[in-house]
Amino acid sequence: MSAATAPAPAPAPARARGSKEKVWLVAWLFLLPSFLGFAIFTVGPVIAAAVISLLDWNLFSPPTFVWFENFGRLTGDPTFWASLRNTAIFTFTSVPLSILVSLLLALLLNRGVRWITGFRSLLLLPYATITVAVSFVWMWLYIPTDGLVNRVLGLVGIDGPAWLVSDVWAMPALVFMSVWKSFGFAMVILLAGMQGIPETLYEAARVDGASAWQRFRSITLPMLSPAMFFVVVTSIIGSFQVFDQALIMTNGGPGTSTTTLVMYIYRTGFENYNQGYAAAQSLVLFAFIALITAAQFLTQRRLVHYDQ
Amino acid sequence: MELSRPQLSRRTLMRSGALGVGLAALAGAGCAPRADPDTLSWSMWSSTAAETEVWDDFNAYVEESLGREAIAHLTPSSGYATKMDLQLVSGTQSMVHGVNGWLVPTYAGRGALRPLNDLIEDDPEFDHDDFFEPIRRISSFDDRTYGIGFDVAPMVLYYNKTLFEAEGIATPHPEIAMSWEEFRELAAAFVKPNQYGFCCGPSIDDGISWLYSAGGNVMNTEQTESTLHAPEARHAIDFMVGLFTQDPVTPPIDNLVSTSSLANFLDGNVAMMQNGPWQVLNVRKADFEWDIAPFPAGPAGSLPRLSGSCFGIPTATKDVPMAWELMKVLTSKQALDIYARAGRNNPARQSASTAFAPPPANLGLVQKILAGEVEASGHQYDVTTNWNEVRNLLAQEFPQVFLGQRSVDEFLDSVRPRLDVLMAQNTDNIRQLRMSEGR
Amino acid sequence: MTSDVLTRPVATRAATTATPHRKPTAEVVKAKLFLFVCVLVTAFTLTPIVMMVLISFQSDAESMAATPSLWPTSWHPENYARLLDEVPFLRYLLNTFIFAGGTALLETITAALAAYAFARLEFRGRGIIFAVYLATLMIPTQVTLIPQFVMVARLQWIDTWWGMILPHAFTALGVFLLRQFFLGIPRELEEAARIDGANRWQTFTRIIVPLAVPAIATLLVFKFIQQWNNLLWPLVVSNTEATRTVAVGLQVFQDTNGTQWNLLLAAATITTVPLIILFFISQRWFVRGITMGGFGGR
Repeated sequence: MSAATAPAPAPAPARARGSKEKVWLVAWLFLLPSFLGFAIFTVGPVIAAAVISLLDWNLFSPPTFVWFENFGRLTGDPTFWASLRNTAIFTFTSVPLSILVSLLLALLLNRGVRWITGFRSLLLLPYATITVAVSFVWMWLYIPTDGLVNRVLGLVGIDGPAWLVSDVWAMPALVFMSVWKSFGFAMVILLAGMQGIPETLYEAARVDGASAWQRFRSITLPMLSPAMFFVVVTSIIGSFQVFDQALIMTNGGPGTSTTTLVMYIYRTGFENYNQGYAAAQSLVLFAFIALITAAQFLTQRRLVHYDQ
Repeated sequence: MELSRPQLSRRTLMRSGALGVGLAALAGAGCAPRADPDTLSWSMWSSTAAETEVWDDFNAYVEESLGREAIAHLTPSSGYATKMDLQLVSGTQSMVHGVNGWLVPTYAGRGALRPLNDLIEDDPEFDHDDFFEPIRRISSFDDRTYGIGFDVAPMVLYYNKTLFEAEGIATPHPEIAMSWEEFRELAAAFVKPNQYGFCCGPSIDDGISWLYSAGGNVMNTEQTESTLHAPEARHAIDFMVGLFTQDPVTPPIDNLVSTSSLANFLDGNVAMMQNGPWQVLNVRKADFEWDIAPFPAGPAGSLPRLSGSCFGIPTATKDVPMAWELMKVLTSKQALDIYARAGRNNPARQSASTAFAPPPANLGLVQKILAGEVEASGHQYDVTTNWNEVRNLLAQEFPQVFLGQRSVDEFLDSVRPRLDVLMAQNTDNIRQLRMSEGR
Repeated sequence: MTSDVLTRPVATRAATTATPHRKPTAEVVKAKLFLFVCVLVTAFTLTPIVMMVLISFQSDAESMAATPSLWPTSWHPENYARLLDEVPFLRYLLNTFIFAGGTALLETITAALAAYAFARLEFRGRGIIFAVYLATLMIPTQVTLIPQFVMVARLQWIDTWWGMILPHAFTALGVFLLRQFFLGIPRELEEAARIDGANRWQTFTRIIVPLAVPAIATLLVFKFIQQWNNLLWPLVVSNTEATRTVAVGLQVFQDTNGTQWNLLLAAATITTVPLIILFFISQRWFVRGITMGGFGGR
C-alpha cells in the first residue's frame, strides 16, 4: 500500500474488489490535498469578493451594507458597458485567431524529428517573456512613422495606420500582440494532446486510403477534442480578463476604445477606492464568462470525444 | 526514435515529489524572522538603483540619529500605491509612508492619514516654516496638515541649447518668462522636416500648467463644479491643443502612455520641452547642451503646476510619538541634503535647497521661483479627494482632442457633466470625513 | 517504408530514419520545404524578441529616445554588467526558482490527484465541485487581491515563502487541464490493471501518470512560467531582498519619470534565459507520449 493513502483507513481495493468499494472515500482522499488549499486560498477570497460587492467600502473607512446598490449603478455607467463590449470584441477575435495559429503550428511541429524540439522551444518564447518588457517592444514596432510594422507594410505599398493612437486600429494592434504573446500556451497543450493519439489509428486509416485531410478530420480533431476544449475554455476565460498589455500599450485609449473590463475594475477598486462597485462589476463579468463556459460544456457533449 | 520507457518517468516523478518536499522544508526555513515591534519602519517608492541608494542613505541616517534599528520598505513606484493600500487595509503598514502630494486629499479624505497639527504645535524644535510654502499647502487638506514634504518643484521649460545655436536663435531668458505668443513664434521657428519646436504630453498633467497660466482650473475653488468650459480654461485648452493640431510645432503622438515628453526631447530634434526638475537627472544623459527657463507666461502669468511629495503617518500607526521622531529625521535638513545632492529633485526645505546643484547652469531658477524671487511663479497642484478618478476621466477623453479625433467642444460637452458628478462626490467625501471626526 | 513516406502529411520523420541512398527526391524537397517553413515562422515570431535583445545593447539615451533605431548605433554590453551591479540579480534568480518552482510543484502534484478523482471516480457532488473549481477562474484576481492579502497578513505570512507560494498553488487551471487529459486516456488500460489486482493508487501511479507525462510536464512548465513572470503578488507580499523575485526586481528600471529601457530589456533578456533552458530540457517530457502511441509496438 502506498503511503499517500495512509492518513485514513482506505479499504484495500484488492480485497474490496467484487464487494462494494467505497469509491467516494477514495475519491475524497485523492481530492483532499487540492481541495483544502483551494477552499482556503481560492474560494475564501472569492466569497469575500462576493460579500464586498454588497458594500460601500473605500478601503480605509468602515464599510456599510448597501445590498444591491452597486449592481444598480452598473446600468447607468457607460464606461462599464464600453469596456464590456471591448473585452468581448477582444475575446472573440483573439481567441479564434490564437487557436487557429496554435493548431496550425502544433500540426506543423508534431514530428518526430530531433531538431524540431528546437523550434518548439523557440516558438514558446513569446509566452515566456515578461509582458511589461515585450509590450514596450511592441509599442516600438507600432510607431507610425518609423516602426517596423509600418516599414514592412510600406514595402508592400500599404500606408500603415497610427496603430496605438487610432480609435479604429488600437484594438487590432492589441489583439495581434496578444495572439503573438499567448499562442505558445495553446500550441504546447495541443502538441501534448497530439502526443497521446495512438499512431495505430493513423496507420489503419492509411491502409484504408484516407487522405491527410480526412485523417485530420476523423482522427486528429476528435482525439484532440479534450485538449482543444480545455484550450478554448481557458483562452476565453483568460481573454475576458486581459489587462496588462492594454494598460501598458494604450492605457485604454484613445477614448475608451481599448479600455478592458478588468482595467476598469482595477481602477474602480484601487485608484477610485470603490471596492464594492469593483466587486459588483467582477460578478457581472463572472456571470458572462460562466454563461459562455456553461454553453461550451453543453455543446462539448456533442463535440468532445472522451474515451468512455 | 529511442525514447525512455514509461517506468522511468514514474521514478522521475517521484523524484520531483521528493524535491517538492525539500522545497517546502526550505520554504519553512526561509520564513523571515518576525520584525521586532520596536523596530522603526517606513515605506517609500524607489525605482532605480541610484534612488534606492539615496533611501538607504536616509535609513542609515535615521538609525544613526535615533540610535535604533530602522527598516526602509522600498517598493518600485509602479506598484507602490497598490501595495500601500493593501498594507493599510491589512494593518501591515509602516510607521511612516511616503505619499505623493496629489494623493494627500485621496488618503486624508478617507481617513487613512493622521492630521499632524498637534504634533507640529507641541514640538518647539520642529521648524515648519523652513519648508517652502507650496509644499506646506500641497501636504495639507481641509485646513489640516497631513504630511511633511521632502521635495517640491514647479514645471519648467527645458531647451536644447545645441539646437538653438545651430538655428542661430537666441536662447530664452533665464529668469523672465516669455509670453505665449512669443513662445508660439519661437517654437514655430524650429519646425522643419523631422525637427520640432516643442513637446509635452497630450495629458491633463501637462495641460494643467497651461490652465493655471491662463487663470483657469479644472474646478472652482470650492471644488463644487467643473470650470473647464470657463473662458480662461477654454483659452488655455485652445492654445495648447493648437500647438499639436494647427501648424503643429510638436512631434507626432506615437502612443498615449508615455505621458512624459522626455523620450521626444532626448531625440535631440525638439527645441523645447515642458517638464519638472525631477527630470534633470534623466536629461543629463542627453548628448546635446541644454538648460532650463521659466514656463511661458499666459494671461495670468507664468503659473505652471507646482508639485511635491511628503511623508505621512497612517491613522493605524500606534506609536505616534516614535513615528513623529522618525518623520522629523526623514525630513530633516541633513536627510534632504542627501536627497538633493543625489539630484533627485528640489528638496522641500529652503535650508537644504543649495544641495540641488547644477548642471544645468540655470538650475537655481527652481528655488528662485519657489522663494518668489522672480516674477515667474507657479500654482500649487489643486486636487480633490477623488483626483485619481478625475485624472482617469481626463486621460480617457483629453488625448483625442490632440489627435484630432474630436473637437474641444465635444470634449468639454462630454466631460463637463461627469466632472460635476465627481465634484459632488468629492464634496460628499469631505462632508463624511468631517462628520466622522465630529467636526 | 515507402508507403508510409507517401501518406504522412510531411515525411520528415521517415527522412531521418530511412536509409539515405533510398530517399526519393520528392521527399527531400518536402523536408527542405518543411525546414524552410519552420525557419520562416520562427523568424517572424522571434522578431520582437530579437528587438528586445538589440535594444538591451543600446546606450541609455538611444533606448530612451522616441524614434526607434532598429540596430544599436553603438554597442553597450556593459549594460548587463551594470544590471548585475545595480540589483542582486542572482539572489533574485534563486528566489524566483523557489517561488515559481514551489508553486508549480505544489499545484501539479495536488492537481494530478484531484484531476484523477474528477476524471475517474464517481462521488456525490462531483459535478458541482468541479463547477466551483472552474467558476473561481472567472473572477479576476484584482478583486480577490484584498481578501487574499488580508488573509496572508492575518496568518503573519507577509514576506515569507508560505505567503508567497500557497495562495497561488491551488488554482483550478491545473485540475482542469489534467482532468481533460485523464479523460482522454483509454479506460481499458486501467481496467486491465484493476483486474490484475491493482488498487486506485496503483492504477493512478502506474497507468495514468505515466500516460499523462506530457500533460503533467506541460502543467509544470506553464505554472512555472506563469509564476516566474508574476508581478503583482510577489511585489505586495515580499518586503525584503530575501524574497524579492526577478519580475519585481525588473520594475526597478521602470520609473514614472522615464524608464531605463536598455537595462529593463537586458533584465528581461537574462530573465528569459533560464526559461529557454527549461523548455529545451522539458521537451523530452512533452514527447514522451509517442512511446506509448504507435511507436511502442513497432
